[in-house]
Amino acid sequence: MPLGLLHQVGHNANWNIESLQTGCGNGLILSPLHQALPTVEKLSPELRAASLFDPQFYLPNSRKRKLLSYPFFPEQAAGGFATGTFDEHSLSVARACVDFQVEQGFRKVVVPTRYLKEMYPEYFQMQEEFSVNSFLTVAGPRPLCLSLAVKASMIEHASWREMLLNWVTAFHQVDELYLMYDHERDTKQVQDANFLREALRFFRQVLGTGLKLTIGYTNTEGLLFSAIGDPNITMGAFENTRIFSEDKFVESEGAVRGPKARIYLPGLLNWVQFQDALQIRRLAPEVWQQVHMPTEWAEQALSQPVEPTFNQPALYKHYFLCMKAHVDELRVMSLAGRLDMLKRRIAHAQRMYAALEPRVQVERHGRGGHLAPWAEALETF
Amino acid sequence: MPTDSDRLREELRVCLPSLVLERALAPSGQRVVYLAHFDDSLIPDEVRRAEALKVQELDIDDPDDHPFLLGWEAWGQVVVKVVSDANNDTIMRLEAEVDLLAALRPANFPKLHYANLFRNNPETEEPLDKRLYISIEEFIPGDSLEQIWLQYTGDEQRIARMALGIANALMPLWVHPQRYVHRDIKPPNILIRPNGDVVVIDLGVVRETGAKGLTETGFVAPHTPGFAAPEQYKEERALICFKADFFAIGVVMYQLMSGKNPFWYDPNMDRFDVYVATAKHNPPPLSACAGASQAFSDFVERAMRKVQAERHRTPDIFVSELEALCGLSKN
Repeated sequence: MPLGLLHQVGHNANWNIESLQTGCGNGLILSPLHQALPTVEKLSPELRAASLFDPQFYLPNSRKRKLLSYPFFPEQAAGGFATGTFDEHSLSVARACVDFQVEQGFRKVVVPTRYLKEMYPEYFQMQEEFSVNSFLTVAGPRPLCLSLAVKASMIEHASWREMLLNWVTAFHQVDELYLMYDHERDTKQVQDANFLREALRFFRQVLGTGLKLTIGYTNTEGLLFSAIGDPNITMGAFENTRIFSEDKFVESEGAVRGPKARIYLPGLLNWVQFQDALQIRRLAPEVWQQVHMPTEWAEQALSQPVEPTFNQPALYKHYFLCMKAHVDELRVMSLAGRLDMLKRRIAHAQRMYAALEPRVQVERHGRGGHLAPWAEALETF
Repeated sequence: MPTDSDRLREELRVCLPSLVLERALAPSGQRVVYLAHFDDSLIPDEVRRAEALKVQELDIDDPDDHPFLLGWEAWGQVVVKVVSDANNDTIMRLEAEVDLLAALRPANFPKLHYANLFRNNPETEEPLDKRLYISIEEFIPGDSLEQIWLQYTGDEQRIARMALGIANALMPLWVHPQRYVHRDIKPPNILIRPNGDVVVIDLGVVRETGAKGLTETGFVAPHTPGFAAPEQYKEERALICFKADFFAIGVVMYQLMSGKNPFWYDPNMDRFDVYVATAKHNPPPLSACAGASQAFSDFVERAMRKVQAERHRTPDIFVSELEALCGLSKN
């Protein structure tokens, strides 16, 4: 399988779907948190066949309405989820969830797991008892995709990483791992060289076992993972599809004041606030030319008399096209070529930020603080 | 525990820009509570533009797809409750309880208009100092029992009807498969609508029988001295069941009938004295000290037994005896 780019579907799933239908991306990871049951059933068979359906049992007592529209979601199926009594329901939940995924014709059946924030000694046993054993029992011999949300520290600790690796390879039916990491930070981009280095090592080990690997909820750091092989990386519109957090199963992004509009500038490998982008275009036009990739969507947003709002699709569809361009460029290269290209892109972005510095004060998250840690991780993994 | 402060008020304004806080109300459980309303004219332009787009694209399959802030002024006065730093399991439990009650007894509980978790300051996009879980509830016009309890003093029939109203409101919790318990029945948590109907507020302290208390999630396990049952003072989680609510209802009935709390009968008592009294003191029967009928006095005395097993055995028995006191018994 070549390097893949999947849409991490979130709020306003139509933006991802429309983008995929125009050839941007290789498939969808559907999100019952954001897509009620009837919405998923209305997707075309072709779209479903290109999609993974993530049952999202990460917070099994979530009360989000769309999750509850699925009769097999633990909170719904158990009449109120409780760890102590869920084993009574585990098998029927697994049967209904597997049947649904098979009937809908998704690319592969996904085995859900729970998001456990603590590194319990019984971590793997808890996962097996919660869902894995039941899903393996009812799924039969078909190939399965195991979904797993882990704390960043589980990847950073070598001993935990080894246990994770041993566990995810212990099921003969599982041929794909859909993995996401909860990396707590107060920045939008990962700026943690140690974590990225260990993640690169871990993902290389996973691919080395012969498992396919889909890395979920990646922001643009996902591009770095192309240096270790051909995983699927993901791209999402709203931020909570680009950073994994259990909080997404509590928050309701449609019911809050939306974030400030940002535009992705591929030459900076970063999103910057839309107002800052206008400043760059006006005050540093030669930098703008080197960091901005014109797309139909970006030009539409930039030509509007007023700033786009967070719930207009143009800036997200622009991002999807930029990510496609990044991945298309990397996909055809050897691993050594990708590594070299990534390093050169990072160095270029650093030069662009340096050129901007005297003229445009970019807001904190739009600055280049991610670039040095990324370069370090690529040098040392 | 969060407290009313300028900082909290500013964070609320940033999260919900059209919210106008009128005044702080008494804290509820471990939450800061405000009386407030929304003023649509305060909605920022960019929010108005974004929400106008949403209105055009509402997804009929999306039960959460409602405009944010637009039209909320029509809710009139609302009660705003703020929890800070609650963990997600606690939040889910609060939501489950509210959903349950709204589905089963909408007339007896305030309607929940909105609830959400805020992690970031929407203006700066920087993390808030502490995550805020904000819920907006219907404001119930009417008086709390605490304000009007003197109107009930000595009126057996009226007290029994009010107690029956509480019991009927709580019945869905008690008989739910997860055996919920309110745990904090007391006059400030009982509202009397102008038509006399009973509304129970402060559901945030509800928990499942035997479930972990909220202490572990950053809260002090809530109870109110003078109304809490003896088992609530001990760390006997498995023993706190619907009978703790029977006890508190008995205390409310006793206080209304006699004019005195049966366990906090001396203003010089401190909380520890009240704990001891709850565990050891047997208040004089209402038939002797307040001229109550023997049936009324016996009912209250049984509800307030120290040993749970000696209280009314089931919610059905509790309610049917209350109905008999109200003259509603079928027998």
